[in-house]
Amino acid sequence: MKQIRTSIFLALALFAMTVFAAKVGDQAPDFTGTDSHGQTHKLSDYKGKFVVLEWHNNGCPFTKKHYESGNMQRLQKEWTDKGVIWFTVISSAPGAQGYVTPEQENEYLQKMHAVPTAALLDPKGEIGHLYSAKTTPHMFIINPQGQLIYNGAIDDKSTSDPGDINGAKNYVSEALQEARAGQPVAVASTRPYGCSVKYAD
Amino acid sequence: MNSGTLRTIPRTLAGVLLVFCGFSSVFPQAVKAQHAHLSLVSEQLFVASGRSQWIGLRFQLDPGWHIYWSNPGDSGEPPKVTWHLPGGFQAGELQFPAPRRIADHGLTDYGYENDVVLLSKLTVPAGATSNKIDIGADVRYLVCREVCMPGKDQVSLTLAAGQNGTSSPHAELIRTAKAHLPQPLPAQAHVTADLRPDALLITVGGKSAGMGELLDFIPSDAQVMDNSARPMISGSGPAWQIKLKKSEQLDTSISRLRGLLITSIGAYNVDVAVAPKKKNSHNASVPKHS
Repeated sequence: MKQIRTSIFLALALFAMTVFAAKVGDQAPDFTGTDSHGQTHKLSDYKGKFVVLEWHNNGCPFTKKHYESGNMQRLQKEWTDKGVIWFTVISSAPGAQGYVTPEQENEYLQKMHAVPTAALLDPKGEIGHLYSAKTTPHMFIINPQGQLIYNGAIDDKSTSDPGDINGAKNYVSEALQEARAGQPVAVASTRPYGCSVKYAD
Repeated sequence: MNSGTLRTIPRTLAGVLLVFCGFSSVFPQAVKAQHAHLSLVSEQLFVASGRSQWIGLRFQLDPGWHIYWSNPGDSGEPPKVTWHLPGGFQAGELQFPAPRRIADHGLTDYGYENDVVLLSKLTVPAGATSNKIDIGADVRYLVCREVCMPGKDQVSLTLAAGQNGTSSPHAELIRTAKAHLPQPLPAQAHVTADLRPDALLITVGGKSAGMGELLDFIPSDAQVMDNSARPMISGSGPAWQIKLKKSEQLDTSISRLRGLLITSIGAYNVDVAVAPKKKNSHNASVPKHS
């Protein structure tokens, strides 16, 4: 009987985790991650600031669309200049596409002129699963009160064609503009597009 | 030899030459791409003036690799075609055979493996007489297995004007692809959709007996249902109920539900109005925060 109760509890806990992870309007799940310089970052330490999470895989054509065009770097520069914290999160498992060592990631950041606040290395997929990050890119925005205010795609053109960046509606910029102006986020949840996150199986 | 026979000789010769040219050029010039071999194929050997006929964009994929349906599901991207046609010719919108579910790192995509032909109806203008009609297509696509590779190919096909009715060597491929296109619902089948706080309910009734066993529902639009939550099917022919888990992004009402009913004998197009939520039902929309 006790065993049954335990399994019911576990099933419910698992259910709660999958259903309530990273729902817009809820408190964003807290995490601690290590960046490519070996520094740790705890999400709750950044209360009072907007935080952007960007799921990343340097070999994915959809990620390349936004990096080889310089689009992602422009967004990182624009918003970190305005005091937004920007974490690039890499949840590729060792051996999978997009997995990088700290040195490789630092080389990549330098080569691409990428300027996130930090690149968090998440090879076990812990942060990824906590947020149910599905694709690269998959974008999340957390407000200064620690609530998730955006979960979804980077923009409204779900292709791997860099030619589609011009004229696309960038959901991340729109959400940040609205939230920083004290307005509600008009488009708060969209279908993320891209490659699947290459989690360990 | 009378004058009639004399006149037919050049004509026969021209016909033979045409068939010869037709054959030599009806074999598409496939462009080698990584993990996908693309080609343009035609059902008919000739194009018939003032008529329309099927052409197909064929993807031959390496084992384990896939391309995507018009709604790719959780990840990926459908192929895109830009046609290059002689004046007066028109190529209809790409028609996709029913896709299958493809598991991808915990996500669910909709697409094709092995060998697939996407169809297009080619409309031939009246008075098309050239024996060198070049049909070209620029294709952008994504082909994936563990990883995804973007592909960009140019494929072409040269046909000659002539009478309809002579099958090309690829006619069977096109016929198979046509047989896999989703069909309209039987006239007397009755399908309705209801939006509930946590689910979308589809009811299939009426005279749906000839549709086969209901196996699956695949949505045509993104952001409607949770792709990885397998539809729950209850009942039996001819009365079924399908319960779909709503997508996390479906935080407002939708007016129509579009998708495919997959049965044991084929796929049927569904495009039905969604009954609005009852007034007294709990409003499940997600609160917006600033």
